[in-house]
Amino acid sequence: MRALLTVTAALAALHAGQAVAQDAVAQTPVAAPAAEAEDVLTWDELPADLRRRAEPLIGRVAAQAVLNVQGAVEADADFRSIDHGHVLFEQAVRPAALARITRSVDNAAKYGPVGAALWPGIGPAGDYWCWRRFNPENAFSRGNIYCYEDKDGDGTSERMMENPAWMAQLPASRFQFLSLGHDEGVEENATFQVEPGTLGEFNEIVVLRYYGATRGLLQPDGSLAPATVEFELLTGPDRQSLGEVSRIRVQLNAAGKGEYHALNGVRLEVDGVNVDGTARVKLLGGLPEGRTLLIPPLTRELIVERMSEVFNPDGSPKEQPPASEDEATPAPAAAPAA
Amino acid sequence: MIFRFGIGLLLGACMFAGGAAAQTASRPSTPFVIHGVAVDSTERTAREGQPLLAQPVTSVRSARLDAEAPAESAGWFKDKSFAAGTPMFGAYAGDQWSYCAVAESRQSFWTTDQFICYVDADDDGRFDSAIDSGTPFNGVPLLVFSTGASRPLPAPVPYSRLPLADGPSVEYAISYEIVRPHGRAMLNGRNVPRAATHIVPVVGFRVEGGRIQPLSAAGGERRIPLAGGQQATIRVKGAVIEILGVNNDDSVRYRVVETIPSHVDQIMLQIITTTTWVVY
Repeated sequence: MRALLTVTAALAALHAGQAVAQDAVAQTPVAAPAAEAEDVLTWDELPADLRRRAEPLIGRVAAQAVLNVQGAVEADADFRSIDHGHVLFEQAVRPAALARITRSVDNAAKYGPVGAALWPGIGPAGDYWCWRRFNPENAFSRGNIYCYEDKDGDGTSERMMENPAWMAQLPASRFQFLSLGHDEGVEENATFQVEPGTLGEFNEIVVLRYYGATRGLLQPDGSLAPATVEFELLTGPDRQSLGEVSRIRVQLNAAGKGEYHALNGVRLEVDGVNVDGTARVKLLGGLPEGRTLLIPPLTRELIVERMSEVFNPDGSPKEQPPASEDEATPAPAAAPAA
Repeated sequence: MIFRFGIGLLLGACMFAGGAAAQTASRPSTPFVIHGVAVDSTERTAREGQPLLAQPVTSVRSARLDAEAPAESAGWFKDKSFAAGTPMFGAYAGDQWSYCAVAESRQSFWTTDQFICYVDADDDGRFDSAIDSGTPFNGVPLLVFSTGASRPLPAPVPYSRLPLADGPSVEYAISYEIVRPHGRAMLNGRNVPRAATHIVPVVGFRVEGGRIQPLSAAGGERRIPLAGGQQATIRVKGAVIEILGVNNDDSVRYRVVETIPSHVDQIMLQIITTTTWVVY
């Protein structure tokens, strides 16, 4: 049930235009299926209500900056022992392209003057070119992100979105975002010129960090099985200033083993986890080198695969271990602040 | 530009004048272990609000001070140091483990207990800094919400890791509430409460005074029908408790069939802050 809720929450978040991207959103090239082939349902075997809700989400792109990954990760040949906070990979990223404003809109100081460098963004409605004002005197002073919508790719904007700095979901990042914000209502159209073969100005990193075991049945030898282990996909300018893009949850079976693969290229294999969170993990893949998205659009195959972990062929929910029940939240503590 | 900013602030204040804005902050707890206990299936009686079943909970990591550690930042009327041997529970936030002890208030009517969490940044078996981590979340001395600034200790303090079951523990408990219609009825010539219809499990951590701090969606809050107004089976996180009878004072006769198996779990901690804007 918990897995169902997780995936459903991710689907709902994506539907709402948010790139919350839990494990259902950040997925991988279709390499090795996580579940045994005979356990994977077909699309038609999924509950009708779920199919109806999932259908509009397939192929929908979450709002984000388009990245260029500077180098591929090296896959592990053997399992490595890891502890909480262990970084499995760090990949350098830059904006995947660069364009400059050739005709600005009114209030150019706010929205971007002629010559300002833009970086590419993407969202459910199409492609964008984004800009942000920085104060060169103060590295912490940064403005809202303004993204010019250019659906037809003709170099002229049709709409401008404002993502306010105070609502930033990746506050440490200089150019990455998980929401386009709202229509700023600017009536003029800006024009911009792409500089072919040029990457954006910013240098940041994407990190996969081990969080630990968050659920699991304790076995006599001190291991957990079945269990859930979690990883954090993070990004930001450096390791001290990272924001969470998505939380990756790997379900371990009764033997304590599990696999995970995401559409963004992250692939993991877990060979067991102990009660204190130490685990044996093999990194099989990271972000592919070159132009990529941290949160690729959802695919039908992925929904079927994830839902196969939750439903039986007759549509009934699969039984979950007692340690995998729904999340518990203490009654909220109200604290007057002012 | 300054003028525009000033107007923006003023408009913002006017818009919220007299209103209240609620902000929610949440973060996951450090994973913890609910330890299994032996099943004792003898029939017992409990009153409403008392635990039908209680099991110890520890952090997945615990430690013990091997020397006295300062706790000056705890403030007035609180412990100013922790003695060697003090057990501490592990708290994980960001990418860092810390080990926390509770500086108890000696004037509990005035001040509250406070966490001091120690960090071993270089992993050499000695704490090198301390964090003032606020009060126990919802009164549970295992749940840390705040992570304040880290201050270096005057001198490193050695510590040792503790076996899982030896760490500081709290209790995870299952209690209940009885649901019955309002009003009273006559039974065998006596005026008694009307028959109970449902029992509602209450699941959570026991805090000071034996009260249970309920957790939402932990398997409680479901109304379970009472057969004949008397009998039901409560199933929470693998525990099975048979309710054998409900008395007029809402106490129950029950027996535990299965206890919660040893497992690791995690909850979301959530604080709703209400900001009230007042314009004079």
